[in-house]
Amino acid sequence: MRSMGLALTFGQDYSIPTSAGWFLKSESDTADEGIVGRVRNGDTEAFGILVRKYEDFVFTLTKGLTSSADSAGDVTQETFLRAYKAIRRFEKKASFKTWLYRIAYNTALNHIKRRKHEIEFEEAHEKIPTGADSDEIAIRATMKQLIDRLKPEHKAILILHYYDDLKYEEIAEVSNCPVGTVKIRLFRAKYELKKLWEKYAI
Amino acid sequence: MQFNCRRILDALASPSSEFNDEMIIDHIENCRSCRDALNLPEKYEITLQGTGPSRAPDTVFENIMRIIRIENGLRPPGVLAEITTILPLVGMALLLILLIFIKLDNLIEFGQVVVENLSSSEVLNYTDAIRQLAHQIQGILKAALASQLFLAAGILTVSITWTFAIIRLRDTLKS
Repeated sequence: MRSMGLALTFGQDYSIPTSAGWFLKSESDTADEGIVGRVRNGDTEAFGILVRKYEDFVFTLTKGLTSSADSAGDVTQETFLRAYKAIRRFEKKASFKTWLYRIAYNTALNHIKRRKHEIEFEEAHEKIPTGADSDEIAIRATMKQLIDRLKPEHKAILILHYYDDLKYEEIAEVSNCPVGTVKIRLFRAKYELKKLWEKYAI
Repeated sequence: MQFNCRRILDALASPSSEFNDEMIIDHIENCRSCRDALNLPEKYEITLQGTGPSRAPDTVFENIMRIIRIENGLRPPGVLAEITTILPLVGMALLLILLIFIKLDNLIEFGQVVVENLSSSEVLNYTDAIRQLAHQIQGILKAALASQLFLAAGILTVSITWTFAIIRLRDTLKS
């Protein structure tokens, strides 16, 4: 299970830090670059290939961050439209996937800031299921609701690390922070999640 | 769990602890006990790691491509986009040149009328000649005024177009 990427408001810098020299490109990344080249040359339909390839991953990330399927749909759409408009600014220092995740990440965080009050209201009325149910669906529902209670930056780290299986370096690029910050956030996210689990799911 | 491990884990909940981030990372990465303490029970951990991506609604793809196609129709990407940026500039420049020529033409016409009327042997009555001259000059000045306004509008349009073109060119060069 592998996948993709993230980022933010118009006028913001989508370039990847030059320290990204660690990145080894896969066949998928090379194929993406070919498609990006076609889009840059005016092949609009080629962008649809990238949308099909990454829409589920962007949707998963944004759904995790916004805690709402409706919001995630809007943010996913906004992410790809921003990526399309900024595709000429995509540099091949890192993968298209990471670049796209960065757009999605920042777009979702902006969305959360705009909707902060509504989200807080919704969370206050949510009920977390008890740990009595042992089947997988119940566990999955419990995990989802526990993760939804984490801070956005912790939520994002867990999703990128577990759902998308990104390396620390890739997560650092997506969230625009040092690798050390990624590690400490991941530890803090797991610690927070464990505490929530002990409080609500046992 | 050792006393130091407990303090390290507690530090995760407190950003202003006695340990800095490097110390915490270094300890946890080298301490199996701490790593285990951060993990959820196995069935939860497996669920967390085994959860695949959620499927995006079909409308997401359709909406994205519809918007892009519409936008593409208005402003084609790639080479076409560059052409559509340059063409208005060329057009505006030609318009500006045309307007300048019209203005010069008006001045030339004004001079010609004066010379023709003053030198015409067919005009015997100087009063009629002056009236005729005044009438023609009035017409010429009206046309000149109209062309001036047209010229001003043209210059304004060219300035705005060039400003946007320069901004876009700057963005392109940046990328």
